[in-house]
Formats: sequence, C-alpha cells, structure tokens
Amino acid sequence: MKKMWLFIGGMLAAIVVILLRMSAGWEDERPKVVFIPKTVDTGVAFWNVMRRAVLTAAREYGVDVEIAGTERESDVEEQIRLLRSLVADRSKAPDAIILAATDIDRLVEPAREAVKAGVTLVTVDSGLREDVSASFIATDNYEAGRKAGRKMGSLLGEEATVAVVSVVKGSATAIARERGTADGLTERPGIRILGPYYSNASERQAYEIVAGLLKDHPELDGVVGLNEPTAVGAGKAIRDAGRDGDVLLIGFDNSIDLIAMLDEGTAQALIVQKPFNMGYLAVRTAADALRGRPVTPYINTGSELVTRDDMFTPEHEKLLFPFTEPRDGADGGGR
Amino acid sequence: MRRPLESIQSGIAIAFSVLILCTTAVIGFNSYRLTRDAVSGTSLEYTRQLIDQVRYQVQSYLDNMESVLVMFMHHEELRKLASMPEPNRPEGIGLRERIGRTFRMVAGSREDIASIVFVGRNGAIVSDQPSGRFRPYRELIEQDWYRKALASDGVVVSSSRIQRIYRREYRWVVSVSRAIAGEGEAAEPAGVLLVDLNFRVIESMLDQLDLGKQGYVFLVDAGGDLVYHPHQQLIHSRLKTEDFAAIMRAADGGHVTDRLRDGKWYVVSSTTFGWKAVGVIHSGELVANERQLQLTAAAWCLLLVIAAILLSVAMARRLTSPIKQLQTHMKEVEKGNFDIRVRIESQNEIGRLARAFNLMIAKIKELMEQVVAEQEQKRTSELKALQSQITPHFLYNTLDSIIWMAEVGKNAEVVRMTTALSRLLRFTTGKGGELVPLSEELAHAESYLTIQQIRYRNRFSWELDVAPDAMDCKVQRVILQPLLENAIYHGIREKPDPGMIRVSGRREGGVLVLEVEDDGVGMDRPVKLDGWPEGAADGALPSGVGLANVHRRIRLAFGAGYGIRLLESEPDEGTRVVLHLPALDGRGDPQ
Repeated sequence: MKKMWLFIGGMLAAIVVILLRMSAGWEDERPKVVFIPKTVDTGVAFWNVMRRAVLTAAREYGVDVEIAGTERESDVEEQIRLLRSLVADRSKAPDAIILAATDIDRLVEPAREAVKAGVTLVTVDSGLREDVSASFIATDNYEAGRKAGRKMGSLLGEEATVAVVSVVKGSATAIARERGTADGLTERPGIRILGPYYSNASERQAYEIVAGLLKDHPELDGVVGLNEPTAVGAGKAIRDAGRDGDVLLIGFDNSIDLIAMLDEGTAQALIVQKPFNMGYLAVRTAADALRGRPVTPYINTGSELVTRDDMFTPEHEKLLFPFTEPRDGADGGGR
Repeated sequence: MRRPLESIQSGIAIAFSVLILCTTAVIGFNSYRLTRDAVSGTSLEYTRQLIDQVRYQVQSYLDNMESVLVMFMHHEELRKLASMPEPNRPEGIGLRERIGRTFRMVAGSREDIASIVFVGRNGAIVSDQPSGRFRPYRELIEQDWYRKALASDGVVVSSSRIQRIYRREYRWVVSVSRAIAGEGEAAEPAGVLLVDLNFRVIESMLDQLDLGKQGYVFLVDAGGDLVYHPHQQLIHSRLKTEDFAAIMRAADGGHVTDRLRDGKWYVVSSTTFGWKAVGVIHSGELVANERQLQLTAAAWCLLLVIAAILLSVAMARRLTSPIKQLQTHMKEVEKGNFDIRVRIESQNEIGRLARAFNLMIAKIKELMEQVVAEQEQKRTSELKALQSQITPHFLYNTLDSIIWMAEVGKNAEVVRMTTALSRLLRFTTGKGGELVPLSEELAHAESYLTIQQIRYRNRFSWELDVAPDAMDCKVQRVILQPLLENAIYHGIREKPDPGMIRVSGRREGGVLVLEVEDDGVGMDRPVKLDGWPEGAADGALPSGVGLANVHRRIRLAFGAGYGIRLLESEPDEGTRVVLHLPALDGRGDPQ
C-alpha cells in the first residue's frame, strides 16, 4: 500500500513538474537594455530615426530600453564615464548595452569591463578597434565613403581639388569614411585631396573650416562632408560664399537642411545611411544574444547614394524623409 | 514476499488511474485547443473590426478631400481665374488673393487638409498660403498630381508622397487632384485643383492602434506600393518582406483574412479607391493570455487526475475487500477452524467464489467428521473383536472342562487343553501390532479348535490347507476365530454326526483368499451372497454379528475392496465363507 501511494505521489509530482516547466518563461523578466547613441541631441535626424527604431524593436522583441548618452558626439570622456557608471554596480547593470562608440580606441577598455560584468554588448554605427562586442551593426562606412569619393570624382572629371571634412578624430566611423572617400577619389589620378579636417560634429566648426578653405584655396572644386552637421556647415559656407553649384558638395545623412541643399543644388549627392535598420537590428541582435541564440558578428545595414534627380522617387522619399521628421522647414542643424 | 504493486488492488487502481489520466489529458488538451481557437477567433474578429475602422477612417479622410475638390470645381472666381489669359495682371492678382483667402478659410477649418492649391494652364498659381514661396511653375506642372489629373476625367489620388509645392518645405501628404474646366463651354480643362491630405493624420491614427507587441497596420495603394508601413526602411532594405500577393487578393471593398507561412495573420480591408489597410498579427499573440489558458487547463486536469486517483484507489479497495475477507477466512481455515462462514452478500464472481468456499469448507468439515467417526467405529469393532475372542464365558467353560478332565484323570487331555488355552491367551493378549503373519494366526486358530474339539468331545475334526506362499502374508490378529466360532456354534453343534471344518488359504495375485468351510447344518434357508450386504443390520443373518465384525474390521483396515467376499450356505449341507485380504508380505506392503 505504501508503494502504491509512492507511485501516485510520483505521478502527481511529475504532473507538477510539467506544469512548472510550462509556466517557466511566463514570468520571465523583460531584459533591460541601455542604448547609448553618440548624441542625445534631438536635432540630429540620424539619431532621431535610430531612437525610434530602437523603441519599435524593443516593443516587438519584448525588451525594456533606456536611452542614455552625451549631448555632444565629441565628448568621449563623458561617454566613458557613462558606460562605467552603468556597470559599476553589477546588480543594477543592464542585461545588454547597445553602444555607438564615440572613440574607436578609448571605449575599448570600459566596454571590456562591461562585458566582464556580464553585460551583452552590441555596438552600432561606430564600433571598437578590438573585438569586444557580441555584434557590430553599422553601415559599411568604408563602402559609403568610397561611394561619395567616386561620385565626386565622376562629377569633377580629371583635374580637381577636393577637401574632405571629417567628424571626430579617432572615431571608427570617421576613419572608415575617410579611407573610403580617399580611395574613391584617388581612383581618378588627377584629383588632389585636402584634409581630412575635423569638425567635431559641429556645424559651426565645419562652417569655419570650409569658409577658411574657400578663402585659402580658391581652386577648391569640391567638399565631402562626412556627417550631417559637417555637411550642413560646409553647405552653408559654400552658399554664403556664393559659390553653390561651383564648389560641389557631397554630404552624409539627411536632415531637412541637407535635403533642401540637395533640392536647391548646393549639394550634388547625399550618402544616406539606414539608421532605422541599424537601431532595429541592434535591438533584435541584443535580444537574440540575451536569449542565447547565435548572432552574426557584423551586420552591414548599407547606404544609398541619392542625387537631386532621384531624390523624389518613392524609395528615396521614404529614406530621406522619415515620417518622424519635423515637417516645417525649421533648421535642424547640429549645434 | 509479495510485491505490493502486484496486488490486484494496486493493479486496478493503477489501471484506472492511467486510463483516467490519458482520458483527462486528451480531453483537457482538446478543450484547451477549442478555447484557444475560440479566443483567437475573437481576436481575429476584433482585428477585422479594427482594420475596417482604419479603412473607414482613411476612406472618410479622402472623401473629405474629394468633397473639398467638388466644392471648388464650380467656384466661379476660380473658373474665371483659370480662364484668364493673363492672370498676372492686377485684375488676376486681386482674384488670386480672394480665392487664396477662401482656400485659407477652408484649409484652416480642418486639421486634415495640408494645403489647397490651384495651378492653371495659364500660369496662375493660387494656394492657401501666401504666394512667393512657390517652386517655379515649370517644376509644378511636371509633377504627377498635375499631369495625371489633366489626363484623367475624374479625381486622382496619389500614394503617400512628399509635397513639393513650396520651397524648402517637405511634407508627407496624400494628394487628391482634379482637372477644372474654365468658364463657358470649353471642354479643355483649364487647370488642376489639388487638395493635400496631411499624412500625419493617418500616420498618428495608425500609430495609436494596438495589435499586440508585434502587430502593426500598414497601407498599400492600388498599385501595390506601400503608402505607410511602420518598418518602411526594413522593407526597402529587404530585411523584412510582406506578402503583397496575398494582400492584392482582397478585392476593392472586400476582406481577406489570411494565415501566412511564418505564423503571421493578415487582415486586409480594401477601400473603394483601391487602397488596402492591412493588419498584421502574430499568431502567438492572437491569444493574449495563452499561458494563463494553458495553466488553467493544466490545473483542471491536475485536479481531475487527483480526484480520479483517489476514486480509483477507493474503487479498487471496494472491489478487492471481499477478496481480502476471503483471504482472512482462509487463514483461519489454515489454522484449523472449519466453523467459519464467509458472509459475502454480493451476487458477482467474488460472491460466488465465497459461496463455493463456504461449500468447500462444509464438505471438508463433513469429511473430517466422517474420518473421526470411522476411527471411532474401528476402535469399537476392534474392542468388540477382542471381547468376542475370549469371552469370560468361554474361559469358564474351558476351565470347567479342564477341571472335569482332571477329576476323571484324563491327564493327557488336560495337558493338551491347558497348553492350547495357554497359547490362545498368549496370542490374544500378545504384544505386537494388529497385523500378524498368517502362520501365527493359523496356529492360534488350531489352539482354539483344539480347545473346542476337546470340549465337544471330538464331535468335529478340522483340516488346514494353506499354500506355503500365503503363510507369510499379514493378516489381522484373531480374524479367523469368529468364523470358526460360527462354524462350531451354528454349524457343527447342531449336527448329529461329527463334522468337519476346513480352513484354506492361497494367494490370488495381490489378494489373499481365506476360506472357512463347514459341513454343519447350515442356515435355515439357502444363502449365497457375493460379498457382505452393506447396510444390513448386524442381526439380519444368523451368526451375523461375528461376520459383520470381521467384515468391518477388514474394510476399516484395508478399504472397500476387501472383506467377506462370499457367503454360501445350504441347509444341512454346510456354510462357506470366503475372505479377501490384501496379500501383504512381511513388511505389510502389497506384493
């Protein structure tokens, strides 16, 4: 009789175990993810779109996202401090961090500390020199730079002088774009390159650099601005010098100012990245990694070259004018 | 030791439990599935209503735009302006200002109108916003909304697009445009009126919809191009795809609910002008609280299973308790108690078994009583036999005879008789078992006959004729004497002439045959019996008591196959009695 009850007890225990297994995952906590963009400045369309994508994906993949970042892209120290403070207390550390590194080298150490603290690290847009993160989701910036360089080359012909205005010295993105642009330009042997100069992602600094260049190098034929505020600053300098159409401009990314410049002929082409895809895929990758699924170490989200002629095709319209753009032509330039 | 799980009770309980468990599992799973299907059906229905609402909203926005168009189609000042050959003359400028004010009034009253613009073929441009910010005329007339409206008879609806009317202003709109005739009967359109729907109105409406974590709504125009999609960039980058073929299956104004291969559901609702609102839900989210549903179902199953197990155990116990009762009673019987009766009232197999058991116990008890009675009988007849062998009367008579012979000086006879008596007494009181060799029994018989011969003054003689191989056979002590006694008292004594008693013995197979025959007066009627009449009263035959005793003694000792085999008697001729005994050798085993 005793064994009988043992048998029944065993059966019940088995059922309870099955039930518990079924209910496992019911109450599993939503993973906490911190997204650190290069800037939290809402004036930069690129990061606005990425932020929106991050929030969309977070809802879809069931993670809680918190956005923390520095006001200025050039504030590397502040980003290091922020990253360190996030993982200082292991118990409060987030499950994953999506980082757009402001410096390719200096963020390596704090990133490594974060990984050591058990945080899943995904880098987005701008990576790290060393292979610290689980996955890197970005535009192939070398390729993007090359597209810009080639286009500039094909617009200018044989003999020309082109200035490259880059962003922040040491940023992985900037380095790749610089190299790509240089390689694209030098496919035509007659082209002379000035720079790279660094705007520190500031429209004002870019303006001053280009204004200076226009004065010092009257032979200047073209400018490549390697990010949005830089290109806007360069465009304004060219326009203010009354040389639009004469000095060609190729910029990166899309803000209303840049689009207007393209529309009005100040800029000849824009290299447009896909920040929505970047943000979305970054969250998806982080969620996958947190759930123990294999992730690809590098995802290239690609870029598009948009010119004045094809900017209003449905595909480019949707890329250039994200639905969340401010709709009145107010200045959205960087500060 | 018996393993508890092998008991019938456990077997029944386990079988029941397993059966009920399986049934419960199947039923539980099915009812869970039915509930889930019902819930997901409700969810789908809800989505369908939601998407219908979206379609209705979108449709009504565009209908509004169209009604504005229609309103201005017959606007006299507008037609006048359109018909002016030189609209930039002061007269035209004044007209344009007045029309612009009307446009502004209409557009200002509604949030959904982004702009109202008229572009005439004569170069006139009027909008709800102050002039001066327009793009060049030649650029405007190149745009789709203008060209398509001129080419078409009716209203032209664009997909979502960037409005390019003003410099440095890029708005997402949906354009509704229509050619406008000038004054008079001219068939040629004089210009195009455009009403732009602020796309943000549609966008924010779609954004507010909740279709679960992964669900969303998108719009597709008549050509299959996306009007709105929350993941537009993913689609353009081919990181995400939608099944446009499935969407386009929905006829204008119709519905389609489709389950795709990747577990998504499409709920498509189509507007009259060809736009389709598509709701996407993930099947995993159709049942919002699926997990809870599962747990509820499982909890119910668990509860049922526990109840079922308890019930099975109780039932098994009820079924097997009579068997256990039977078992307890059998143990009693093992201990030797035959007086018990199992009280099981039920009519089923176990009841019948119990009754059979009761019958068996009764029978065993009866048999045991019979054995006891037989033993008793055996002892009684043994005693009787011994009593009959040497009655005190016989002893007195014999002793009287000896005294008498001694008085008359018959010393030799005295010696013979005394010796015979002495042997007789020694034999009957002798030690040893019940069985003796036939030779000894014959010696005893001779002693007895000697005494009787002297007492009856040689009125009879005897003859022993026993085969030598029968001499060693075992027979019961004093088994012949009653027969000899009968022969003397009932046969020879009444006979006037001297008689003869013959005793013979031989083996016939496994049987020892002993015969005692006399030539006395016999019975008063002829008798021939093959065997002893069982059941006849002891006195039914002359000399019956002695014979009956002999017969019973043999039967008790050796079984029903033995005893008196033949009793033959003829008046004045004599009597013959044949005994059958098993031919036993010295050890008492059959040879």
